[in-house]
Amino acid sequence: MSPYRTKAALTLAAGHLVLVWLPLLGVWHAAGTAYAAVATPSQAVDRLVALLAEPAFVNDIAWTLRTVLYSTAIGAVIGAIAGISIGSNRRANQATMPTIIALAATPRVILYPALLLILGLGFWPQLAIGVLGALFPMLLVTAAAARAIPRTWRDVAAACQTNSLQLLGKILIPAILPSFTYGLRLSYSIALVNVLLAEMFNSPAGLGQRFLNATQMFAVLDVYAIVLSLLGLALIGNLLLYSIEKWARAGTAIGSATDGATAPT
Amino acid sequence: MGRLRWLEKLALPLALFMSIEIWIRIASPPELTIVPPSAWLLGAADVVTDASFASSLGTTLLEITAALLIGSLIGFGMGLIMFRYRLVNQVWQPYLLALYANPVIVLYPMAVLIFGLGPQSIIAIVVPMTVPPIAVGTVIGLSSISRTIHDLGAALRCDWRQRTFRLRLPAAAPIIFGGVNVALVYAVIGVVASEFILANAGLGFEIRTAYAEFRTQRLYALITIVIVLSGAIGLLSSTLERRIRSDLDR
Repeated sequence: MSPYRTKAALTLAAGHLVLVWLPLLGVWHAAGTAYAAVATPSQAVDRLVALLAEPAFVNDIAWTLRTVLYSTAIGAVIGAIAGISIGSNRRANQATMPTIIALAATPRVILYPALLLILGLGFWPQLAIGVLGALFPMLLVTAAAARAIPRTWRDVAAACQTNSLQLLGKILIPAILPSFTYGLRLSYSIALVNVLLAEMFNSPAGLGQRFLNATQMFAVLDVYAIVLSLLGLALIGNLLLYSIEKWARAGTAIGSATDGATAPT
Repeated sequence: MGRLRWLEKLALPLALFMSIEIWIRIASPPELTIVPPSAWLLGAADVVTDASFASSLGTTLLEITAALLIGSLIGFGMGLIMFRYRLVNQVWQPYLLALYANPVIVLYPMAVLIFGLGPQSIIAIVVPMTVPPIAVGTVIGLSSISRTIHDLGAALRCDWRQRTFRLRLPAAAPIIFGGVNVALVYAVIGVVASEFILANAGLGFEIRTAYAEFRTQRLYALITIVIVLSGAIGLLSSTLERRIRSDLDR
């Protein structure tokens, strides 16, 4: 590494420290010492380590994670199929996009009480609300990617007399893969948020339910330890999926369609 | 032709609506679990006229407006600083982008613990959701101004303040506005979802109460109202943004 680049990297690292982490941890620590309702960072970490040794806590993490992973998978598959079909057909795109955009902007978690009434308490309504969360970002992102496929590619495929399987393998999938992996990351994040909110509303188990209980019992240390575990789930999932996304983007010439329009619940 | 397009666009929601209606008429599930969509609309007409609804709607709108205003001020300020100092931009941008699909809302109970039950907790948790799109929009808007405008400022010998307020900001406004649009959608979702989890007023709270009291028709009516309202806001903001984008490309 050249001395110039070493210096730039050091400046950036110092920047992260001074502009983000020191103020954040400083304010948190100060608030933790001043207010009874805030635990200090070190207290939160200590409590989290203790909680992780309790089987009941690990079970709650497993309950939440299971729902989130299932709903991400189901929502991503449905969303991608719908997105690709809608995005590759101009007419279908024009007719359905307004409704899809409108629905994507609604707080879908409010459907949870209705799902509770229809599906009963437990795993199923939570899975349904997670799927509803994961579905829309994937649909919007893959539809945008399908729209962006150049007309010429299809013409070339037609000229080469490709069958539909070849069209799928040689054109559609390579063109959509980067966006699909980006959509997967969004779907995971939003499924996580939706499932946690649903668990806070009404659930037999899970981190969300434990979190709300801890708040209502004023168990400050627990609240902050659970916050750390929630952020950990969000961060680890995002980093894993981001590495897949980078791999997919490196493999194709087109970048990922980072079309906005993704709402957090 | 124009009229036909509108019909096409209404086909999907109407089909959804009709299929649920028909399914309920045929399968007739217990009335406590679901009522037909026609009853949602009748219920909505009832709900809209009662007095508690007006005050709930008022609370929700107030929280959305307050969170958006505060978030805009903070986001805009951060955007200006990031535009001025390259290092700050380099450091902050990844965090802001990471916050985009943000799990911030799930930390809401923590805000209640600190600020107590009420609008202040909801605003405190929704503001951090609205900041990232506005800050990022401001930086991108300011950085993407065409070279000509800078040259114009130099040719007219504008001072720093004139360049910022008379040239750069008006030129960047459409993209900043795009960020505000996204923030508005986030604010609506954040406020309603928070009220839904833990609150003593607002539309989300009304939905929770209707569920707890087994008032099924009112529950579905309220859900319909919230979905129509938030969907309309989302659709409007995305249409506005597309218009602005196409104006910019021209």
